[in-house]
Amino acid sequence: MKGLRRYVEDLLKGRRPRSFPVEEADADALRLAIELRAARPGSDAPREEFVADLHRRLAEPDIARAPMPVGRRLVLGGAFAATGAVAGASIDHALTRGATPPGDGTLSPNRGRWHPVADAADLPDGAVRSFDAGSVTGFVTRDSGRLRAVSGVCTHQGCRLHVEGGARLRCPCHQALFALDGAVVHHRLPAPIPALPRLAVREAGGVVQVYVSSA
Amino acid sequence: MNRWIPGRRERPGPDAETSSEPRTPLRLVDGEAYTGWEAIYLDNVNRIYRLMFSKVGNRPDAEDLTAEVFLAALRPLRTSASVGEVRAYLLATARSVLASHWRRTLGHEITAIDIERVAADFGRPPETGRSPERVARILAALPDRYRRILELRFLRSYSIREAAGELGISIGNAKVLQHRALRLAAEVVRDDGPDDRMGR
Repeated sequence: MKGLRRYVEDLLKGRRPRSFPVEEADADALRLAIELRAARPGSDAPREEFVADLHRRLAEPDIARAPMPVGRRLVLGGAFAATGAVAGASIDHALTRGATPPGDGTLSPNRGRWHPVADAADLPDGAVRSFDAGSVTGFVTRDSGRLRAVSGVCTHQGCRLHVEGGARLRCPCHQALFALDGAVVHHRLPAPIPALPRLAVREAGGVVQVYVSSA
Repeated sequence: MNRWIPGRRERPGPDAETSSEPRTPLRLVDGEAYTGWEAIYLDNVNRIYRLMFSKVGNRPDAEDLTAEVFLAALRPLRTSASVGEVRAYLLATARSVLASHWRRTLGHEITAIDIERVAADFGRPPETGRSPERVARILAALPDRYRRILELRFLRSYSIREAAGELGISIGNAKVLQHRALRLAAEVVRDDGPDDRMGR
């Protein structure tokens, strides 16, 4: 009875009502209180700030519909890797917004070698090539002149990804979808999955190379 | 206001083409139905919010549940297409989001979304406060003072002190009156037969 009164008072004041042990008789009164409260003229329109704010949240790359803001995303890739500072790695982690599930960010073996994956001429801007470098398989792309390489294995259960529509990586097992920079575009899994690990990549002597474990 | 526009089904909107460059990821939403997730969102956020508000009666919960619906629904939605499917999917999501809200908070399913009933309304432009007829009927069935206290507090935003002043009674009495009025009104509703707004 006390709980019911407090709940109703919260409704009347526009606060979030606190829960309480509900009995059958309370349920009817509650339902009615909600109906009466909802009938107050003009009170059922959403606040503009709420609508705008949710709009923004939905637009965030974690929920992934807008294209990745490339510049902000990552400092790795071509320029960085070409200096040989491969181990640098996860600057992008700090820059990633919101609640991305934890991922390794970058795969950078301690002892590795540059493995050729494509002729530079075969990788024009916007192209995607899959590669198999023995210990690692993945995809390499060139976007606005910058090289990127990501692992080609789904971070959910390890299925091999394939290119979809030239701009996405699709997992055939549970339909997860990744962007070419490894970000999760969407999935239908109960828990979030990490982005695809990125690989160090460079262009040397007309050949695109990925840094992989020498083991 | 935003409305469902059946014509969009046949003809992609004028911005269907322009939306293809920077927002290509969204081509998952069939261009013939909505031009993208933003169109879906803007066209439906008011409806979903109002629906939720009518089921929970308070803004903080209504906002959270609305956000939950869109956050959960927009991803899978982008793979599917027509306006009808989008609408059905949003409603189905809203129903389960509301059900789990009640499970989580009170352990009783106080209100529910009856998809078929709501779907019929969903296509029409939203109007504010459409339940008044039913509410008016319930209130009319109450003794005068009971009706007054509920009107003042629920419909006219009077504080308990103001309502007590208006009725010329003490605050303590106003509280008791309000509580009894609510209980009695709940009985009226039970006798009023199957409820046509609250779903169950």
